[in-house]
Amino acid sequence: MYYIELLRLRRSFIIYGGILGSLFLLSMITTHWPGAIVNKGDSGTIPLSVLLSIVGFCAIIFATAIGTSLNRENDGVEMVWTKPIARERLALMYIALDLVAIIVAFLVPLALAILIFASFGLTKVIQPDDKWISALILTFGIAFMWYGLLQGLTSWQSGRGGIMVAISWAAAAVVMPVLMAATARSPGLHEVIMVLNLLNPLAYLSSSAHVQIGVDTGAPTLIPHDVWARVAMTWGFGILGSLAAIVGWKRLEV
Amino acid sequence: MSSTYAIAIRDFTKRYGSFEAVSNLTLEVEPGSICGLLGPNGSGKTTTFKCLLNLARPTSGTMQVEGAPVQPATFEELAYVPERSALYEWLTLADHLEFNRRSYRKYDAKRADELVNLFRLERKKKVGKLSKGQQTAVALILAFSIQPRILVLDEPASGLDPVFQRVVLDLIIEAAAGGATILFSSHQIGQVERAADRVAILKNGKLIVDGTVDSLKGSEKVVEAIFDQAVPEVDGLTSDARIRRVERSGRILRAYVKEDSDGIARRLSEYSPKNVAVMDLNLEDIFINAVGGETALPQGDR
Repeated sequence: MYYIELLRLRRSFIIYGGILGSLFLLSMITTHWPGAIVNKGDSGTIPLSVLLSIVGFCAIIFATAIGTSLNRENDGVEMVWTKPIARERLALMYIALDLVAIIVAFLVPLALAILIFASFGLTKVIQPDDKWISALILTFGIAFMWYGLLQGLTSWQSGRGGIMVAISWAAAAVVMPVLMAATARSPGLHEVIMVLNLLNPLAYLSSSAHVQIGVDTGAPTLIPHDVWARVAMTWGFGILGSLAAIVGWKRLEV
Repeated sequence: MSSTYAIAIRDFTKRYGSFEAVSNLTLEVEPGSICGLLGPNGSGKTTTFKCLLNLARPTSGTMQVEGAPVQPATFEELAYVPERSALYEWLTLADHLEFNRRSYRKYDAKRADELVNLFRLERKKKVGKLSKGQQTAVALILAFSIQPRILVLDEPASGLDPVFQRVVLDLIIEAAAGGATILFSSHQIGQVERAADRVAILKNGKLIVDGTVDSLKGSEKVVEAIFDQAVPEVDGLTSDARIRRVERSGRILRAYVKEDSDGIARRLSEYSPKNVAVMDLNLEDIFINAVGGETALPQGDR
């Protein structure tokens, strides 16, 4: 029953793998080209949590790209809704498959990154630190939160899935940080923006109360400093969004 | 009782806001029979199909298939061909067949092969690159390859050339001969006349004609009276419940009657016409009389 979603994911992975593979080849060629000078250093280390967060960003991008899988069915939903399977079960299958795909989308760039380091004999610079487990779970949480919110916002609509993905990126990466900074000295309005910012997956990347996507906005936020609280919130929003998506999809009429 | 019908639609109404797409429709289809649902565009045929299959929710009324509301398991034995293509344009016919194979226990690969050859389709071609008629053929192949007990076909010959329209008709008749129940809509009234045991005609969401093709042809007649001079005023003719429509053209008066054509002929004879004749109608005439010549441009049914 989930065959179509498998094919859809295969297509997404072809594009994703193509982009990552190209970047990998490019970096390998430029750094291993005869005469290329690579400063290997000898004293630095890369905390595993940092590496996981960086490759996790690729998984976040992938999660948003597949975050409208239920919406994509809606143009010809008669095809799947007249199959002998309950809609909620089918939706759950889609979501479960997508989650597995997000994990694979995380592992692919991680493997490529390790390969690049290995090609220089530098795998030892990657050092597990005390934050790597929380960084891993938080990164997945952010990817799942964004995925769930997109599913929840689009599963009950026909079309417009791609537009919603684009809007979500613009809102999360540009609009919300700008509004957070711009309203910092406007009590009342800023509180509204702070509450809205709780739905911004990228806001959970930062461990600082003032920092949005690496930029210090100088404005307080409601995003908790504690990493496990952020983990709980991101996974919570992901689950809520996914449940809302299933309910919305089930109630859709064509 | 509902359990005796393959499809039972009772007191079904569907409203979209203040617009009533279907009003109080009752339609029962016997197992192993072919029922043709006719009506102008926008008459409520597709809405009826969608509500029957749980793709939309009825505002009121009950809809049952084999004695029970449609459940996911119903679709093991029920195939639907929608009016508008619901195929995945980025996938090939082979992908769609594989999807069917994985979805149905009763999927018959041999039958699917026969149908692919019958419609002369390429398995590896993306569905989005097929013509509308070929896409209709793909939908039909998917429907007939699961050997369903019930087929709901919304414009199953849409976009097909006359040769393949005949093929579709044969498939429908063959399936019914094998015991399947078929509810289908079509604008090709000749096809409906040839295949259907029973015909229901919808107009503005209301059922206005329902009966077997033979009984409709037996009761629906045109009574034609030719006068020497202008057609006289016949009291109460247009409001006569036995008459669907009255047409006046020069010295000719035609009354399209639902029943008792002889009685109407006797009544017109009282006005001393030169000649009065009772003539048979074909299904197309019956349809046009029933809908009153009102049709809409094709723009997708609701």
